[in-house]
Amino acid sequence: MDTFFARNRLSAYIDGALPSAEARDVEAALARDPALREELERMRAAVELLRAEGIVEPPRDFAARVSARLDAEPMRVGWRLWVRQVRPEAVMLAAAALLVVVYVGQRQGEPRVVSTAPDTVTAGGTFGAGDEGGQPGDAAQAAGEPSAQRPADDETVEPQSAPPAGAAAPGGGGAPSSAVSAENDGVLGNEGGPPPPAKTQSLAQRLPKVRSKPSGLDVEPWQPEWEKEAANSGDAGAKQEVTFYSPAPFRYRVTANDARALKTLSAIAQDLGGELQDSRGRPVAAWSLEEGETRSVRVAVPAYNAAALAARLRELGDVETVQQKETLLTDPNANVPVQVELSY
Amino acid sequence: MFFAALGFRSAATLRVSATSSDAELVARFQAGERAAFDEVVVRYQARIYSLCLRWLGDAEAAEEVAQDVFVAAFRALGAFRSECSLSTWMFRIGVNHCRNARLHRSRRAYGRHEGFDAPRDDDELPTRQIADEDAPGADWGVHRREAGAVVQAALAELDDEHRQVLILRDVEDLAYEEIADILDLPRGTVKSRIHRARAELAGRLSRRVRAADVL
Repeated sequence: MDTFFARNRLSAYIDGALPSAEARDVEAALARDPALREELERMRAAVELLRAEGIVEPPRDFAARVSARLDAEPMRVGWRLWVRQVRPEAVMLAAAALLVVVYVGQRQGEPRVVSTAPDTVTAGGTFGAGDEGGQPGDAAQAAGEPSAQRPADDETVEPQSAPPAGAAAPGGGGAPSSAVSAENDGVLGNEGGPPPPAKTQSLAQRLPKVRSKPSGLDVEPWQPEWEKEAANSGDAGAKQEVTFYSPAPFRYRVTANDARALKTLSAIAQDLGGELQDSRGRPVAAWSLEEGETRSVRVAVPAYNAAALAARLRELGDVETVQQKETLLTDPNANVPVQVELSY
Repeated sequence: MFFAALGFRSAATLRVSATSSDAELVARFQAGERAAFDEVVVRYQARIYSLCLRWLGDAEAAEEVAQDVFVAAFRALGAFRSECSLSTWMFRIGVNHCRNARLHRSRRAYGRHEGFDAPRDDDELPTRQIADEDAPGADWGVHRREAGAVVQAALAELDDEHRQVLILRDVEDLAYEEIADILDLPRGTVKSRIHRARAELAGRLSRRVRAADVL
């Protein structure tokens, strides 16, 4: 080993960190080279001087000062440890609470189909009384309330509310029809388009509402499975939360001008992404109407086309609105069943 | 308060520390026992304080930074995953804090090792601190206490890379492997860096002593 390599190993030699063979080589080089020995002595002296400094005790009250500072600090343990310490029951409870929050949040975000009907509608100007076959936007004005002045939060009213005087008498020139709230304009007035975003409403207005099954309809209301289970289990509290989906919130009576009105209605339904069925949900078998005959059919159309269907019914003849009920949909693309009684 | 009766608590702590390993202290702390950290402070305060003192060269700054080190450790110990020893982890925090503190101080041009009254170059040698050559063990011609000032001054002149390895190796007496873990360097790099740092320190000390002898 030459001096160069030995010099580069002096530090390790001082620490005793060299393999024995290398240590012997270094010692041989030191024996040959006085300059290297002097270098080793200088380095060894520096190390000893530094080590002599050693560990210094902190001021006497150091730990107390640290402790005083830590008094203001919250203890933080890692999330893994925190998870380990959490009881499974608490996790399940939190998960259940999260599900409820998500469910309520989804309900709040749903588009709502809101309309008026002479037999169910409404108070406080929530649903304007429309003219016969009028456009949804006209309805509020016909009731003497500019729709633009009504805040959205006032638009939703329970069907059980007392109807306004102008809406009390169905039919005739004063009969309300196709009356849709300002909120509804965004839903029903959107022909063929995607469902618009839901408007903001207060939580109270968005809470599930219990609805009764309309009379004369033979379709069972849809319920989520968990709601059915809750209702069947006798849990009254859960039952109160059930939202019954009204199977036919829209009912119209049409006096057709043409015996082929059913065919025309079928074409309209297809245009609007729906289909025509008889009152029991079966395909329509006979298309022609006899004079004096009345047929009840059902058209299921996407919610955002419900208003368009109401408007296009006028292509068939005179239209009388029997019922337009507020419906809370669980799916923005869900079909809304529309009951149509066709007379010829 | 934890240190209300410091003497008694210290004795108790020392007794517990003799039976509690670092891993046990960590486990106790992570289980929510705050007093376990008090034992960590007692166990490491001298070593962390020494690290800060040798690095910064100022007793007041060293205490402040050492306190910061323990506060930072307190905040992070809950998430400590024992991938390294507590000692290594504490020194890592200490090295980082010292590095930052020194950088901060240099930016503010604050302090020039006031605690040691150290010179910055050979023209400002601590001539008053050089003792007579008859002092015991005075190959360098300095008293032990004054030798400390000279060593600290020479240490302060090293760059951070060299200073930190010298402090960890020769002041803290850590093994090459532990230094490598603390600094996240290969062992060979640590070894060669220590060699260069010692050579540089020896050269600086030698020049200082020779100059003092001349004076």
